[in-house]
Amino acid sequence: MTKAEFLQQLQNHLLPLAAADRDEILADFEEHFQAGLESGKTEAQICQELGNPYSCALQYLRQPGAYTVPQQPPKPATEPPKYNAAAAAQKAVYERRNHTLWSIMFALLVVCAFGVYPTAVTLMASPLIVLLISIFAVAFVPTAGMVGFLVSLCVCLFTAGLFIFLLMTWLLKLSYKRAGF
Amino acid sequence: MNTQFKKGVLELCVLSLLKQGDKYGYELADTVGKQIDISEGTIYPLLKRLRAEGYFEVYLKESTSGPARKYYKLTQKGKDMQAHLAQEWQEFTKSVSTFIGGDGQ
Repeated sequence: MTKAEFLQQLQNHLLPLAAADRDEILADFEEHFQAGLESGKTEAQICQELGNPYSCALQYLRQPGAYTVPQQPPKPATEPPKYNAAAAAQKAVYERRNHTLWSIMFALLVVCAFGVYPTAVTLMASPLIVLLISIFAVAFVPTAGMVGFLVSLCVCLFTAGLFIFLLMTWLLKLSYKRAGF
Repeated sequence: MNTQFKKGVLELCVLSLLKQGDKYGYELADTVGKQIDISEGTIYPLLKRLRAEGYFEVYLKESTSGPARKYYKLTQKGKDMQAHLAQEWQEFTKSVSTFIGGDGQ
């Protein structure tokens, strides 16, 4: 095995470590090769004496706290998690309270819906009745004003019905979602 | 010789070598490797661990040829540990040798 091969294999096996640790270990072995070569040994001879790169790497990986280094950077920020925990608890309280309020809201809306929906549908359908009446009305009072009045009445009634219908549906959906059933 | 057994005494060997004076990695690995049949590569993880445990500190020193070398220097804690381990070792080998000699009862 050559120096390059040994170092490459060692590096591969040390990948779970933090980059800084890995670089330091590789520098140690680099230095070892350097010194060994200076003392007249060959690369193959030094590799032979060093042994298997995998068992070297394994000893580093098994050391207590070998992995704490890469895990540490997020940890030192102990304050934000604490703050978050308190905030999360507070949030949970608010959410529970909100759910209760929205549940009550939903129940009330369901009751209202029994009155509101028929009203809305009636309002939307009312232009038909107006149309029937208008046949007589126009027959007796055949003026442009009367026609205009009836048309705008139809439009207003229908729009009001549609608006109430949509508003009610939207409120029901919203309260149902917020209540989190 | 049993590998686990050798690993156990490796710590004492390294600490004892450093007690004689500061050394760089290759010196330690080479000296120990010549005496005890181990993979020299196992010395480096040991050095890292002992350093992390505060038994020695390191410093860089320019070498006559090539880049600076990492030297290991025993701390007071390391010296105490060496004395402790050496004593343990002597007591241990004394006990064992009584068995080997066959006069232990």
